[in-house]
Amino acid sequence: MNKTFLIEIGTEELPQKSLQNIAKSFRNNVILLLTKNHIQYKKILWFATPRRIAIKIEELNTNIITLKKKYKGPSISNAFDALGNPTPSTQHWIKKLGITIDKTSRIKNKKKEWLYYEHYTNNRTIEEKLIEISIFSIKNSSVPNFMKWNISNIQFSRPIRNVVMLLDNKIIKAEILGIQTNRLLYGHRFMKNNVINISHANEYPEILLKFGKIIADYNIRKNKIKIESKKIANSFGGHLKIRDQLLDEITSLVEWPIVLLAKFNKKFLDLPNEILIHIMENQQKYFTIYDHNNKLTNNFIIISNVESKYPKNIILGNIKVLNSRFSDAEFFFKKDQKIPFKKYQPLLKNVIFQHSLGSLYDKTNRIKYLISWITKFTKANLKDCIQAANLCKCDLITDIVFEFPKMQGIIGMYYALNNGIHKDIAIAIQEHYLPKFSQDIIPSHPISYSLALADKIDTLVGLFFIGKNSTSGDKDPFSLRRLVIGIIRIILTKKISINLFKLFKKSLNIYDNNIQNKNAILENLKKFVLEKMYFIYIKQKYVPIIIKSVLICEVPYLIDLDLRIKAISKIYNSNTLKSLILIHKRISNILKLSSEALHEEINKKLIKKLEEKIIISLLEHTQKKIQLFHENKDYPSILLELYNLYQPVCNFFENVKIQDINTSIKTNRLIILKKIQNLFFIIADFSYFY
Amino acid sequence: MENKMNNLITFHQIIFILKNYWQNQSCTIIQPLDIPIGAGTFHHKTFFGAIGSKPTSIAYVQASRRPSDGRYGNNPNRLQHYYQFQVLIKPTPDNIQNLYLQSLQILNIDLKNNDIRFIEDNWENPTLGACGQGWEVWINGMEITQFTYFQQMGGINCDPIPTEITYGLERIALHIQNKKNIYDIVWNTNEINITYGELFFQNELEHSIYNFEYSNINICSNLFKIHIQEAKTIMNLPSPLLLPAYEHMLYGIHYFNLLDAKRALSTTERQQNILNIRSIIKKIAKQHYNKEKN
Repeated sequence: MNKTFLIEIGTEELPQKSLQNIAKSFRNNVILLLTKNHIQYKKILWFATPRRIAIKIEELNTNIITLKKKYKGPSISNAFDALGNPTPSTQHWIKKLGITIDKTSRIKNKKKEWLYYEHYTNNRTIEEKLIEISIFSIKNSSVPNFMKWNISNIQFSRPIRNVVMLLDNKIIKAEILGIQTNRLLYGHRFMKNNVINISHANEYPEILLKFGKIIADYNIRKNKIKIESKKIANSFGGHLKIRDQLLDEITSLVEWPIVLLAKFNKKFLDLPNEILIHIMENQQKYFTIYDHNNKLTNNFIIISNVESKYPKNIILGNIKVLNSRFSDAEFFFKKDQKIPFKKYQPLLKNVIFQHSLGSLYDKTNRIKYLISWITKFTKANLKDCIQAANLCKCDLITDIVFEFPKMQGIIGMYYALNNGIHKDIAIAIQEHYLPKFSQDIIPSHPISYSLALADKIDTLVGLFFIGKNSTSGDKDPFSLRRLVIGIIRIILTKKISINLFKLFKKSLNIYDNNIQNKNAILENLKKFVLEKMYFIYIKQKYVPIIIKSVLICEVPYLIDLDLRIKAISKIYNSNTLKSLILIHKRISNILKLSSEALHEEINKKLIKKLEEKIIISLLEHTQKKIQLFHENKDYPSILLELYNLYQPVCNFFENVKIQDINTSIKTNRLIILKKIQNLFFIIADFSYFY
Repeated sequence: MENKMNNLITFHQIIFILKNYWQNQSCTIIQPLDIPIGAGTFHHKTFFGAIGSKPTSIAYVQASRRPSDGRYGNNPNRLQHYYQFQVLIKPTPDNIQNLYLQSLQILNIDLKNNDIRFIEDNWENPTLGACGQGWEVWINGMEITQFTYFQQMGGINCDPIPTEITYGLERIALHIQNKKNIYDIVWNTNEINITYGELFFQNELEHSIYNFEYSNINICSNLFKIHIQEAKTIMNLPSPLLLPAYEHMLYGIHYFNLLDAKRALSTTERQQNILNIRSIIKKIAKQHYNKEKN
C-alpha cells in the first residue's frame, strides 16, 4: 500500500550557513537507508527553515519486503539416531543457527528428505523501520558543530524541541532524540506563535503556509527573495549582484521573507566600497544595489522575517545600525591616515610573521631581495617593485584591517593612493595576495605578480625551512597547497621563464648560507611543486602518464614543462606517438641489456653497414635541428623531428645486428642508440608510455 | 510635557524590569563585580557557577570595559565602558528561549512588528577557556543580546549545560527609546531628563584618550605581569585561594586588554600571553571542580 510519510524536526534556530547541508544530508541518509532496506517510494521532498527540517516521502510502499533466508540441514537419514535423538551433525547445525530442533521443518524431493529452516530477517513493521531510519539519518546528518543542551546528552547542531512523525494520518509513536513524536507543528514564532494540529502527512507543507505563515520549502523561499528583491531594485533603475552564498544564508534566516528597501547616509559612499559591501553583505546580511554604471549606491535591501504593521520602524532600525557601523569604519579610516602610509613600515617590526622567521619587517626585506631577482624575468620596473614591497604589508597594522581582516591589501591600496603613490604600485599592494583560492584571478600587472611571487615564495620556503611543511592528509594549517598552486598558476599564466628551483635556493639562502639540511629542504620543495603540478594537470583532465613522463625530467622552468605536456597531449592517440613509443621501447630494451657507460662519441671508423651510415648522418642532422627547436621551446616540431627517425631506426634494427662479435663495433652501435634515446629525453621520459 | 513622556522606559527602568522579571523566574539577583572586566561572563559567580553539577540561577548588571572599543564619544553605538545584564541558569530549562522573548515583551518590545532574529554566533573566550553555541539576537539588524549554551568553562566540559543570556542594555535602550545615539538615551526622569551622555560622555572621551594615547606600555605591561605572578603564587599555596587568584587574573586580563588597545603586542606575544592566562585559569577551574566534587 502507498502512503505518505512525514518527519519534521523542530529546532531552535539552526546556523544559517549550514542549514541547507544539514537538511540535505538528512534527506540523503534517508534515501540511502530506504534503498538499503528495499523500501519503494515515488518521491522524496526536503524542507528547511531556521526552525525546522523536514522530509516528506510520497507514495511510500508500506508493504515491506521480508527477506527469507533458507537453510538446508542434514538429510533425515543422518539427522536422527535410532532412538530418534538428533545426531551430532544435527546438533552442530542447529547450534550454528542458534535455534532449537522444534523450529526446524522438513523438505523433500523425489529421492530424499532433509531438515530445513526458514529465517525471516525482516519481520518488523514499516513504522519500526521508519523510526530506525529517521533516528539514524538525523544523528548522522552533517552538522558542523554538535552541542548539548540538556541532561540527556543528545547532541545536535541546536536544541531539538519537537518531532512530528506521521504515516498518512497516523502518528508513528517513538522517541526521537529525546522527544516524543506528535502531530503538532509550530507556526511563525512572532507572526503566529500558534500550534497547528496536522491530521495527515499530505497536508505538509501547505498547512504551515496557510495557518502558520511559514514557507517551509527552501527553494520557493529562495526564489521569492530573489525575484522580489530584483523587482524592487529595478523599480528605480538599480540592479543587484546577488552572490548565491549570501542568498542561501538569507534564505536560511527567515521563515516568512519580506523585502524592504532602505538607504544609508550618502556620505559613507566616500569610504572604500569594499568595506561598505563587506559590512552590508557579510555582517548585516543585506543586498547591495548598484546603478547603471555598476557603481555602488546608498540603497540596500533588507530581508525581514516578519510582515510588520510598521515596516518603517524595521527599516529605520536597520539604517541606524548600518550608519553606526559605517561611522566606525570611517573612524578607523580617518584615524589610520593621520600618519603617512609609509610610516607604518617601521611598525612592522612589532608584528611577528612566523615564530623564528622574524617580524613582518624582516619579511618585507626578504621580499625586496627576492623581487629584485624576479624582475629580471617579469620585466617589471625594479624601482616600482621595491616601493610596492616596502608598502605591501603596512596595512596589516592599521586599525581598519585589525577590525576587518578581510580588507587586507584593499586598504593598503586605498591608503597608498591617498598618499599619492602611483596607481600600479597601489594595485600591486592589493593584488599581491592573489590568487586567494583555486578559481581566483591572477594578479594583472607585472609589479603585482612579481610581488605576489616574492611574497608567496618567501612564505613557502620559510615554512619549509622551519619544518612547518606538513601537508599530510587534511592537515595543511598554513595553506601551503594553495600557496604553491598560486605560485604555479602565476608562472604559467604570465609565462614567466624563471628557474623556480634557483629561486627557492635564493630564498633559502637569505636565512643562512650554511644551513645544514639545505639540500633536503630544496629537494622537498621541488617534490612539493611537482606534485602540485601533477594535480593541476589532472584536474584539467590531462592524461596521467603524459604528465608523469614530463614532470620526471624535473625541469625548473614550469612553462617549459607546460609546453611539453601540451605538445605530447596534442598527438596522444595518434600514430605519430605510437611510432615514437615503439622505437623508444625497442632502443631502451636493447640498452637495458648492456652495462656499458656509453658516454663516448660515435666512432665513424667502425661503421660497417649502409643503414648505420644513414642513421648517423640523420642523427647529426636531427640533433642540430632539435637543438634549435629546443631553444625556441618548439616541442611540437621536436616531436615531428623524432618521428622522422622512425623509419630509419626500423631499417637499422632490421639490417644491423647490434650484438657484433667485435665489442668495439657493438659498443659503437649502442652509442648510436643511446644518442637517439637522449633526444627523446629533451621532451619526456617515454618509458612512461609502455 | 516633553520631558515626562508617559510611555518612556528609562535606562534605569530597563534594569529594574529585567531584575524583577528574572527574580520571578527564580534567579537570585546579585551585584556586579568590582573589578574592571570585559564582559558579564567574567563575574566569578558566572565563571565558577558554570562549572560542575550544582544548579545555579543568577542575574546581575555588570559594567564592562573593552578599551579597544573606545571611539572618543564619537560613535553613536560603540563604547569602551558599557553595561550588560547577565543571566546564568543551570541546568537550562527547555523553554529558555521563550523565557528570554517574554523578557523582551515585558520591556514593551513588540515582537510581532519588529524583526527579531537569532543569528548563529558560537561564542568563545580563549582567556577563560570558555566556549558555547548560540546566537546573537538581532532586533531590526541590531545585536541586543548574546545567547549561549555553554559547552566549556575553564577548559572543563559543562555538565549540565548552563545558558548564559547577556543583554546589551544600551542597545536595548536605543531601541525602546527610539534614539539614534547612545548619548541621547534617557537614564532617568526626575523633574528633568538625565541622559546617558550627561552621565558618561566625559568618561568615554577621557578613557579613549587615555587608552589610545597616554596609557604607558611599560606600566601596563608590568601591572599585567605582577597580577599574573600573584595569581600563580596564590595558586601555589598549600591550599590555594581560588577567588583571590581568579581576581588577580581578571586584573591581569584588563591590563592585557589595555596593551592590546595600544597594539603594543606582537602577534606571537599576544598569543603567548593568552595561552599563559588560559593555563592559570584552567588550573583555577580544575581545582574548583575537584573541590566541588569532593
